[in-house]
Amino acid sequence: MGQVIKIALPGYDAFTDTDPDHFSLYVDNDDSNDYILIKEKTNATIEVSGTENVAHNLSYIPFCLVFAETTSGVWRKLYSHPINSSGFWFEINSTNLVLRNDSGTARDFSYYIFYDNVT
Amino acid sequence: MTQQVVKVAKKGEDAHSTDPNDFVFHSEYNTFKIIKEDTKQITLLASTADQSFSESHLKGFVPLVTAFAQRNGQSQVFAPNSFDVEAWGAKLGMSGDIKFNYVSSNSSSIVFNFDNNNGSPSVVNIRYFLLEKI
Repeated sequence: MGQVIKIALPGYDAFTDTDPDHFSLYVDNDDSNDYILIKEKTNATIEVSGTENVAHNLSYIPFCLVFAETTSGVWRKLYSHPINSSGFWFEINSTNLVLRNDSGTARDFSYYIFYDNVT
Repeated sequence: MTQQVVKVAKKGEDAHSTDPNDFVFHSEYNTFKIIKEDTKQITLLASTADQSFSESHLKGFVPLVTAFAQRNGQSQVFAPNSFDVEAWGAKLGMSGDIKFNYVSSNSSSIVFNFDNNNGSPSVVNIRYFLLEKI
């Protein structure tokens, strides 16, 4: 039998339940999956007009989440180049998280950079 | 006082590693917690772009929201900033006429925005997750 560390969510039995969705931490050496928890490196909010490079210093391409304050108090989750011409988007390379605002009006962007390598 | 750390290494990795990618869990790094998960069914108006649907979240702060949409009766799920099929052709009877433009949030509610280029109303099921404060 392999080594096991499991923390069940309230209402579930850590000894009998086998659904990883019912655990806040699920590690079992007999299971072929690692069930990794993504690990945050940093987060910040900055004003973006045009292009802003945020150096992450990881030398690989990390998982990132980015949001833009499209109107006061309203934050939209961003993806790659927008299909609806909003002008807000981002890309990631091995040096920078690149924040793009092509809308012509400066906006606040909030970003999270994680340690987790996506390549 | 020595800093106490809880670490769980991935299979085959050394728990003394300094690379965060070698760990399933490491107490020195924040992990995102799902603070709410729910579903919402909406009906898109026929042949109408820029349709917004609001859902109250009652959290009192602006949450980080990620969401996925599923056309009723279909198996494929699509994320915001995408159509409901691959761009190079319809698959398995899906026509690609629904576009999930974006999901946004403020301190009281979540907004899901769609286009429907289909000539008839379309039912869409959304599953969304609230993670942390933006």
